[in-house]
Amino acid sequence: MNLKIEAGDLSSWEWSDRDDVCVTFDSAKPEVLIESRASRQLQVETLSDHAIKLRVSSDNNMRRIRVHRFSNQAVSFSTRLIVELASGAEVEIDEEVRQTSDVGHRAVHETGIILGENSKLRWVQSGFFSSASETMQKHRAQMEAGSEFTLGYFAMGGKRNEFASRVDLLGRGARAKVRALQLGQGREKHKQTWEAIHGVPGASSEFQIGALAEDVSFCEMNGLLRVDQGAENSSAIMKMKGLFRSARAQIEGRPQLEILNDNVQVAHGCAMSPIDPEQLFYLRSRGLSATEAEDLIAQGFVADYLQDRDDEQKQRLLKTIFGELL
Amino acid sequence: MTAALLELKNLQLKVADRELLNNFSLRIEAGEVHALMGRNGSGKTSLAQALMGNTKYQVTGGTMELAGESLLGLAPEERAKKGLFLGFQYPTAIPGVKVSQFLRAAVRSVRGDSLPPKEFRARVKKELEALKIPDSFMTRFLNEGFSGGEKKKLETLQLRMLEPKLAVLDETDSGLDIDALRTIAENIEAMRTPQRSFLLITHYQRLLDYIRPDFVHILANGRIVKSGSFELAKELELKGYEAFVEAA
Repeated sequence: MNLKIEAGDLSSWEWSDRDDVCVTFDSAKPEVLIESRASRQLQVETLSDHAIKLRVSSDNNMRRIRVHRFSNQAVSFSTRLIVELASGAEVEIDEEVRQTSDVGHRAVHETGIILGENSKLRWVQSGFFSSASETMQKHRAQMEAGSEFTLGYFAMGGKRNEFASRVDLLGRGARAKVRALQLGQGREKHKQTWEAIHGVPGASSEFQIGALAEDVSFCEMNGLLRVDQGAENSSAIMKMKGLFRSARAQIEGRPQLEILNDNVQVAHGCAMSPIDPEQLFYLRSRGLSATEAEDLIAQGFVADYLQDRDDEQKQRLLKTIFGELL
Repeated sequence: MTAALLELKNLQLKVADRELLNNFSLRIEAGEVHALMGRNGSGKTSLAQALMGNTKYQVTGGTMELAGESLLGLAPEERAKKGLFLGFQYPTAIPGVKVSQFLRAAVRSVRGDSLPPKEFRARVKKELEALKIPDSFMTRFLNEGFSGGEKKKLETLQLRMLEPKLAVLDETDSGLDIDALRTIAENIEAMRTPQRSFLLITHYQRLLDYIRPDFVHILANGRIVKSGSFELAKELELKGYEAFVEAA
């Protein structure tokens, strides 16, 4: 990988046809900036300087909200975003978290998600952090009956990068699907913690959690699937996969189950490995050098976690990580 | 005397201290098709893997030359660029890597940038049709969730795109239904030229009914115990390996 988050490098972006609102949390600005297309309005409640609540109703035809949380200053930065979808509402959120200060910097970003009955939320987040930054993200989602929540999380860089998420499945038929990946380079430390709490019958959750570690980086994955006593016919699965690209990198995976009902389908698994020599040999037998083959395998590993993103997003992200793609 | 396309002389091959081939010799001239037959575990796949440069297999003696140049010490990618192709018996899956991305990278690596994108796409389309593979195949992840037949079709697609000088096809016929076998075999047969050679590794005569070999060799106890024409494959089908192994 060749990613280096430069100090002061803030993402530039352009409106696409699918974007209706852009929400920017910028440490250099006193408050949250909200830009909106005239025809599509959001209900916004300001909670404090860098804390807002967005309400999406089912009748405002909102398609995609862009969220940016940026900081390139050596200050502590805290943000809070609450997104509430009314019954039947649907929206996509494309979030980028970028911290580029070249001196010690700490940020805490909190996100609350409330999904009304039969609402649908597809959220993708990309995080890029400079080597001096420490970031803690806390996600909490509450899902009512029939709601669907898809989260694609990806992060790389940072001295220390933590992401903790809890999903409460509170209504029958609620469905949560998460694909999450952290990339570790240099001496970085990454940690992900995922919890799904099944409190009612007939809800499902699926977690695919990954880590790719290079150099002497350390990636930690923790997970808990809890199915309460009254949550029969729940379906829950958590898979963790780690890929090492160096003998000194470390990955730990701890998926855990807490099952209080016998009538459920629950599974968890964890697999860690270096680059498979058979895969390497196969690609090299097709003319790819050892480095190219390793890069392609790593690209494939990463791409597997980007399936909730559209092709353009996926390609852009892969190019950011790996440079020119094979 | 001109150099053979492939010349193996007194080859000795080991894996983890177990001897697989001992004084194994084989000469393949340009344009020839050879079939190598043998029981399970006789060393056919090991030979194929060692030819392509899998370091799991150690060549402890003898020589291995392609068009007069030694292959020993060359990395697998260097062997591929010299015109050697291995059709794998069990091609490995690589999640997240699309067939299209992989194929483009392979063609660019082996053949250089000689095929512009437009021509590449047109060529792939033609090959997919010939192999009766749907276009959607190209957007799937490499060998992931593929049936045995699909994997072998993908190996054949690569063979046709990479146009090697020598193709070593390791049990290309295994796991195929009758129709798929015919399609694949016809596509391989269509690649025969006076310059290109094949080493077909197989257990059965059925592949050889479609791709008629110039020579058939029986491998046992780490070496070739009998060589002959296509008739030898028929004899083998009737008598079984036992007769040839005992006679050796």
